[in-house]
Amino acid sequence: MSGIDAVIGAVTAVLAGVGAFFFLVGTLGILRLPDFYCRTHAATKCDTIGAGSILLALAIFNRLHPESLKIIALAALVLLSSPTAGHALARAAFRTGLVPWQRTGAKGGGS
Amino acid sequence: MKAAQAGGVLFVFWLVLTGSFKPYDLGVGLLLSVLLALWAVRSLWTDDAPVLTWKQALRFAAYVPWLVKEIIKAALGVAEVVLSPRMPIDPRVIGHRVVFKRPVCNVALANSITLTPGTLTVDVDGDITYVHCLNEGFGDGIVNGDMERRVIWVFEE
Repeated sequence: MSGIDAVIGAVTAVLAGVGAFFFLVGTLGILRLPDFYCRTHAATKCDTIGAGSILLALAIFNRLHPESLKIIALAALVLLSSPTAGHALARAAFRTGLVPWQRTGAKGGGS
Repeated sequence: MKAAQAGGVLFVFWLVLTGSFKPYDLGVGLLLSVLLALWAVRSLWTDDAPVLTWKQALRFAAYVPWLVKEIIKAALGVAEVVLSPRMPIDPRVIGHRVVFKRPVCNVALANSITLTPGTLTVDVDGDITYVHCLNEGFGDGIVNGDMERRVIWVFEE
């Protein structure tokens, strides 16, 4: 069974690495991007992918254990609540009249 | 009927969380599910139960992998934009007009857009969905109608 162990270990490591990478990108995005809307992109999206990959890695690492179901339920809740929260934030800002940042001298597109 | 549906979902969730089949745990779970379901039907879930046929459920199951693929593709795009030193972003808000027959389609489209990195639904006003894009490319799948066609395929055909 050690072959399967090795495969599971490798898949877990890769997925956890991918998750960590996207958390890093999300954090950098929050620091670097120019305005509220762009930062909301970074905060909600990269975290969704990051948390999703890491939770999937944990579920695979636990194999067919009841804990895996719990982790998958957690992932489903994150995938539902994260975009909802992001949309609620953006909508509140949009309705309050916060104007999105635009690259100066942009040709067309924005109105 | 609605109470039974809600209670069933709650009880399955309880089973997943406790992972235990001891009579005491099952009894407590059942009692809580019934009480919560009765309360939820009275105060949270006042409109009709959503209709989801088997065909729609199967098509939704086919839709999810496509959405995951789009999410991964777009996440790599966002990572590239954020990590590149010059940060080539050109944010814009696009208004996309689409007429659905069922409100669930609006929800599905808005949530899919928001889940996909690089695009964020900021408001839905009648038929028009306002989407904030990090740059023009991320909005292509919405502007050319690819995503809405798939949503219609799942819920309306």
